[in-house]
Amino acid sequence: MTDPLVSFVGRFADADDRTQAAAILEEISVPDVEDASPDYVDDEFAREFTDALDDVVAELKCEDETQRRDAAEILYEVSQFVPTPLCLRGPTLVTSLDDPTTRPYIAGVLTTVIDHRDSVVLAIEAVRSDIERSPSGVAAIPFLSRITKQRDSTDEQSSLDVAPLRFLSWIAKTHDNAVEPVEPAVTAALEADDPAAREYGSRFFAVTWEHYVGGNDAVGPLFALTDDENPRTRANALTALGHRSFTQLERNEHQQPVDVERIVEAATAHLADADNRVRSNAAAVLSETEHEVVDEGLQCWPDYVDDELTELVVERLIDGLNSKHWGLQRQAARAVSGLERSCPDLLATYADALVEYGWTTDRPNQIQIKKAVAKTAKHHPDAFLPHARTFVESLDDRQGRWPLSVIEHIGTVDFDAVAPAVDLLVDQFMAPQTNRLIRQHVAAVLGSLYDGRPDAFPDWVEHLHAAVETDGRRGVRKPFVAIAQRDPAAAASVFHELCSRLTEPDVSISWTTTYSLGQEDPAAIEPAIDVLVKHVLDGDVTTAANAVDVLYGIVKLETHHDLLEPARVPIERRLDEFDGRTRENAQTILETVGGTNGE
Amino acid sequence: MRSTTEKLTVFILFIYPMSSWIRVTFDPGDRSVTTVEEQLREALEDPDTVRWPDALVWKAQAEIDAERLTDLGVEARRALVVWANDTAMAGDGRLYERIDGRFVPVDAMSGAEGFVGRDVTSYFQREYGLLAEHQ
Repeated sequence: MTDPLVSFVGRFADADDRTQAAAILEEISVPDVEDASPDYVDDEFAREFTDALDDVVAELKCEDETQRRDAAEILYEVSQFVPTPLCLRGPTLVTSLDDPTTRPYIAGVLTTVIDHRDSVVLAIEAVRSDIERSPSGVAAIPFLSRITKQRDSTDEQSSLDVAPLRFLSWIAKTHDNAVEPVEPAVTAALEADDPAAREYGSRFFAVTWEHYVGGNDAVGPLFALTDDENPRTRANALTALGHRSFTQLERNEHQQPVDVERIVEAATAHLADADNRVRSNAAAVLSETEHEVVDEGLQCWPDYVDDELTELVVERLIDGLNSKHWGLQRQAARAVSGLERSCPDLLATYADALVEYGWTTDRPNQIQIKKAVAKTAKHHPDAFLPHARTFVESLDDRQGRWPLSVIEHIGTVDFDAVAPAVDLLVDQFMAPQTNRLIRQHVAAVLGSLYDGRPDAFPDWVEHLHAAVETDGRRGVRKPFVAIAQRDPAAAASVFHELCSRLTEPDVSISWTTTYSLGQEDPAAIEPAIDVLVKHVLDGDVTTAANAVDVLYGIVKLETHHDLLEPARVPIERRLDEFDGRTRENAQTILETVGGTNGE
Repeated sequence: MRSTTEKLTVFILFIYPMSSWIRVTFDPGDRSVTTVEEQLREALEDPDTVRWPDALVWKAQAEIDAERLTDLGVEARRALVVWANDTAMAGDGRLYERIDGRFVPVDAMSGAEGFVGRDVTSYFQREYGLLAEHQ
């Protein structure tokens, strides 16, 4: 590239010198320290660089499209070496974002230079200095004094005047706590006559308040801007207030609290806005309200509003799911998920719409809706009964855990409706490729269904034996328990089989399995004790440790501790070989057996 | 009383293995999702991808920057890179646009501690309608 500015940087063509070159250029290009440039930089060098940079920046506004594009590209190249001088020219550069020819590279410049916090602090300081030097305070800083009287100005003049504000809204995305010094000035801009000032001012708070909250002075003006003529301003104001309301509640700040009901009302009103972006942001506000309150636990927007408003919000969110606007669908789905905790009764009345959304193809955030359906079905299985076939058929597509939960809940009220799922579930349970977590969920559903209608599982024990053969890992506790309730001998048989295979590397059993089985019927675990004791006595350390952990489940039973007596001597012999959790479990077993003997 | 965030931190730090995730969402622009996926598969051996109707999400295993994206040779219109880390419980996001055959960063957002990248994905969703979630 032959541009003088790039050539200038190119003087330091040797890669080892480029860092030094960048450092020199950084120092000579900061206005306040220009006179104090280092000894090894002469004045001519400094002037040459500054002139070259200013020339290229000026070319961004020339008539020739190619020249403008080249200038933007050059600045992008230079920004990677010398961020500060470009960051200080941010308010000038930001106006070129409106030119499609220069926008991508100028966005590249801004994104690159904002990465450098030192440069950003200098840029913010430049605006702050204007404020401090002003005898009449905030309203007298140059850009604000103009944008508050903007009615008769041209669009071009407006663009120049709001540029510092626009640049600050860029900075705030990455350095939200660094912009606090200019927050009063931006708050004043929210009430400017210039629509662009209101847009960038509201954007500043939409990104700053995502994390960092200074004062509350902007709250009132932002509420007014939720009805601004400019949809982008309305959207920004809603987002800012949403962040402000619920960030504040999370932090338990009670001074000057934002009226939560008011922001919910504003978001609800704008769920029916004419503009898709505003509707999407309104739904986003409602999707990000979950927060923790001391002594009250997890709270969400319905905890702050009356039933009538809650019904209206949910109705409009469901409408949002049916929108043709992808972004709104997605945000509405996020907002609906989570409502199963605060208003499951209301959500159940929209069962048809939720199932259609969650189980039809290619809709955004379907997983969140499936989760909401699963959790709502726990309280209202009847509401989802008409869709039982949809859930069963979705098992073929292996759609994760949520359809499984719905089937389990429906099975509690009408087994026949989900009976066709049993064979599919057994297949999934036995298939080696089934994900371990999914296998646990499948096992839970099978156990639950078996519990309700054991006669529907003629081959159950055989299937479970087969599953242990193919995969003796976790995820079998619930079926064990269900079987133990009906047929302790069968459960004991499978448990014995599993314990005998503890020597295999892939086989392990949780103490909770022993505990759960023993709770149902101690006879289900008794036959396996000898096998476990033998593992402790003769097995390698890993097998012996696993056997100790399985035996530990009997300690938790509180009764039948006598079953542990045969394990006492083998555990004493090998105690020193165990460490960590296993050693603690072994010692607890010995103490328990000792206590039993002493009684 | 500890907040949910604090309790989650304790859980993650002491019980759950620490991890991070990187998601690259390619917006194909004029091209099809299939074309973009084919180009990615030419560049990488068996990349872990998820297809959406209008985007391809790549579960990357290493840090991704403009140079790395360009070197992949994927001719998508845009690429959103979101990185989240369980240790910091925070994330960062960067949107790239393909200009003159190379990817240039055109927007960035730094997430805060405790959000585990949710704030970043929300920002890009609101501003650009781009999906970047860890799901």
